[in-house]
Amino acid sequence: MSRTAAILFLALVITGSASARQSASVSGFVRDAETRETLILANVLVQGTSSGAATNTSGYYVIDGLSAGTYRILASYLGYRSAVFDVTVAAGEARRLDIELEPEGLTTGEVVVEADRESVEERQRLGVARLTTAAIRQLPTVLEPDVFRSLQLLPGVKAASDFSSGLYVRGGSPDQTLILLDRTTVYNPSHLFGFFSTFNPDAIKDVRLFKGGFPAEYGGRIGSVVDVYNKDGNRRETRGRLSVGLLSSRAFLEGPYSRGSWMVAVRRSTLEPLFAGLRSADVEGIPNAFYFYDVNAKVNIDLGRGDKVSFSGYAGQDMLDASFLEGLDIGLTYGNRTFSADWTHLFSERLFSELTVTASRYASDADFSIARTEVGRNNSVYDLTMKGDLEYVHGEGHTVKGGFWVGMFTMRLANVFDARENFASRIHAPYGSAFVQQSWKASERWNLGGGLRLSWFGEGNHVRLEPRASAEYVTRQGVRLQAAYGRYAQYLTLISSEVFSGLDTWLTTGRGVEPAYGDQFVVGVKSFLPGSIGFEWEAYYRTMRDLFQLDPFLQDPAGVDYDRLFHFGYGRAYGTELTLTRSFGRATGFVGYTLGATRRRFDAINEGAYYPPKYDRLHDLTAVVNYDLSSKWRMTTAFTYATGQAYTEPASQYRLVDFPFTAEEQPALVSPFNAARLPDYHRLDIGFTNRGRFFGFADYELQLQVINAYARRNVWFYFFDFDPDEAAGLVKRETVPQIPVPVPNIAFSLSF
Amino acid sequence: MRPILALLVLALLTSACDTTRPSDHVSEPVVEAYLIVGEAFAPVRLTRTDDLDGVYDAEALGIVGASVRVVELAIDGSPARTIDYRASGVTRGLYLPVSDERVRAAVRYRLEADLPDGSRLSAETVVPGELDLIEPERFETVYQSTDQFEIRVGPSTYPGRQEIYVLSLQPLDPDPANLTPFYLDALYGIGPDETWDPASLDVTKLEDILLASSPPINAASFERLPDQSIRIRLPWFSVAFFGPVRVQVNAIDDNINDFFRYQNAQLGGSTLSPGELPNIVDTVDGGRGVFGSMARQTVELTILRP
Repeated sequence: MSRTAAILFLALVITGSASARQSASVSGFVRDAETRETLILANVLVQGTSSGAATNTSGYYVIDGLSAGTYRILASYLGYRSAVFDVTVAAGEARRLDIELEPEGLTTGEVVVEADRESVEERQRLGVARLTTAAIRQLPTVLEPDVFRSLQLLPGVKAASDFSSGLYVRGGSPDQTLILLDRTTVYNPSHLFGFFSTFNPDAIKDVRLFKGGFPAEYGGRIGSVVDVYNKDGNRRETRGRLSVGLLSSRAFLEGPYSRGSWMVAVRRSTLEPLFAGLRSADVEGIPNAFYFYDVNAKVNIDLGRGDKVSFSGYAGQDMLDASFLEGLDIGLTYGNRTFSADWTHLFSERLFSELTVTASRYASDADFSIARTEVGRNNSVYDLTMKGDLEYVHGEGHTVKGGFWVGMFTMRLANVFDARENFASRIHAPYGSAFVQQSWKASERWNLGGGLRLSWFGEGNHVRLEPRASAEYVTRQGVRLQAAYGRYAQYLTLISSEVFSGLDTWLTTGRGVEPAYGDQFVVGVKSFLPGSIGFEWEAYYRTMRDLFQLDPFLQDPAGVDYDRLFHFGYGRAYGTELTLTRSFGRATGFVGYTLGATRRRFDAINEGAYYPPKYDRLHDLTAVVNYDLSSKWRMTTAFTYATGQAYTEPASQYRLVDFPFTAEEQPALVSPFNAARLPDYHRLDIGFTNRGRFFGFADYELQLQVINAYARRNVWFYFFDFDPDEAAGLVKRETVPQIPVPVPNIAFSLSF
Repeated sequence: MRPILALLVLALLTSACDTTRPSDHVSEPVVEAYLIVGEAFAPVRLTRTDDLDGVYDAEALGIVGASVRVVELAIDGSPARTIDYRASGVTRGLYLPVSDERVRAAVRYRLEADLPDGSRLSAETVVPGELDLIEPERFETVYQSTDQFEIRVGPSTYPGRQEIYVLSLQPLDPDPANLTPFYLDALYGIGPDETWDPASLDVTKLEDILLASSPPINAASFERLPDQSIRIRLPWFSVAFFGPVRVQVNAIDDNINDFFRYQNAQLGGSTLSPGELPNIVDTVDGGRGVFGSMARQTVELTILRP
């Protein structure tokens, strides 16, 4: 398979080269007219032709292959008014055209529908979903607007529970999703032990989710990619935003300076007054201290017309200090730090480069004192990388991109028991990868893409070749027929808990532990229905081979050979997703439906047969509707229905009566693994947003929301009590619910 | 087109009811026996699995009329000696050895049970090597003092892996009045400054800690001394009662270790998602349960109040 893909890729490069010729080009940056923030994946088209381009992650575009003449250039971006420019180019001219687009207001009555249709088309890439921060802030949410919880509403993305912000994309577990913030890997993107993600929506410019079939420039995970970019900061004026919510408060400030722009966003939990009140009321179980915070900051320095340097940083931490019983003390801190320095340089209008140095640190430190027995677990991950990309527009509709990614991954894990370190592991592994990919508009109807990624991981000295390919055919009616294939390799695995993410620990391949890898096949159909309703249908099939996960039956890792820490298995997932989107008018939103299945196979589980993991769901339906009640009021609703998750319903029990290590009988269950289903899941969230001027000096936004509006008591899991109060020998099934009652939320923001 | 659409809708609607029906209970034989090095052969208990609808009653589920024996196997797998069993005559499903022969260390035993329905149940255990107690035999220590109780044992052995130990504590005077502060609070919600009447407390709550054990601990978790002996410190949180306690160090075989490992996962103590309950690994042919073995050392210790 790899050889076939390599030949295909070479053929594409050769044929693409043959099509190159001397021609005129138009290139430049596309920016927000209010803030001069660059726009990622904005669409720039030459009207009356099939020529066009989308901006890259730096907001830069190149349209090549133009003959001498005058053209009408149309630029569009979802949420912005389209703009039209008449441009005359001479033969061989490289014309610079920087574009600024005006953002729309809350009402969308004056939108040029045709242009916006085209901007939506850009979103219609295979396997790609994009979220705007405005949409994230509008969605009803539990306590806090959240990037990942918003992503969970998309077709093909599932949540483990109401309490988890983890992403289960197309049958993959959360560790199969690469999470990037300004091109820096984030290893535990959660606050409140998994309840919501670390990304402050105030600071985020763009969120893209590659659900599958992603191009060769991304790697390191076998499932999907979440690519998040911080805002650059307002280049025209200093602006700010203050938000107060039930859980936390946020402050955001951005502005220009002589050489560029800056941005800083701070968020901190504000639960201390609540805890103090509860403690004064003698409520038990209130922690001595609990808080989380995060800070995002970015500075951009314009070095010249074609050079820009930016420095971006993130720091976040959760801290819990709690005491229970007489002599049980818990101290837990975990958090991420990331830093990236990015230099973009235009060698010419057709050759764009980006060089990034990143540092990412994740650390968790859990200490327990139980009757003066000290128990602890300390884990840290340091990831230092350098990435470089070159993007060359080679001819009409032909772009070649290549790059490298080298790094040093260091992981430390130590367990302490009774004040003595009884397990310690340190992995210090260099790694690297290189890729080349191209996109080629082979004809008016055909768009072809191909790529190859070569990756290496020092721990175990594993090398993998990962071919990628894609094809798109556009019919005369504008219907896009798409297909993609990719092979993906993964050198990391995550020890995590669906219940609690504060102790997440990453492990790597090593001697005797091969990388996981998988193939993804994706096909799709994208079009528009009457009324500018976007229609997207995709089907996928993916394999997961050589999965390595911490052996769930390992009691004590001390003295165990590295490869014996794991159990190894396989997985597969397949499904189809249907999305209908309406982006314009008083009523906007989307309806998404997924019919999917995912299976796993590990020798020690289910007698080695395939089984559905807990997050497998056959049906998943989501409807998100925004409706402008007036110029000031907007209503947002989100409804979700999903097949109940898989669980294990015990069929039989036995008890060890004479077990020599306990005074009581020891129960054991005999069950077909995950062969039963929890009751179906459904939930409705409703929110209202009111906007206006606040005493003439700021714009305000008031949000009133109710989560789980009709009090659906969805089941999280069943717990089997072997020793209930009713009678010894009885087994009682207890239900642990998800959010069982309507949860109100109120938030107030001021923008100035 | 319409019939296809109708079929598709029908398929979706029917598959929407994809709530796989919980499987039915199938009765299976269960064996339970634990050999201890140097001690007489342990009783063998034969019962059956039960459904989850009622109260589990081991004696009512006991299998009577079985023919039970334990066979000691030579290195080549051939029978070296056989220990026959007889029904206890008192407890249904309980079988006792007919002789007082002793369990030998580092040998393989096979348990065979011919059941009344004509089926055969069998299981094998490899007994851990001898476990020597080096020091001490008796000790006193003040609760939560810096002078933690330590025990040193000559390491047991096990083929193909490091030794795995389970530490057990059995209070010899398990009175609520003797509870240490942590357990007094955990069981009865009584803080250190509160006054309370021991006679008013529900003693059934003590059942969980009348014999408490650690999970399996690898030898590498303990301090290994130059003479290869292992020093084991008693963690304070394991001490539930003041007064005399019996401390046992058990070097366990694979079967007992497997039961601990998988039962822990069934009770929610693993990385599996909540509600995912794997079956305990099958170490018994023709049934379920545990036929295990261990080497054991026991010392008595007095925990003094600070």
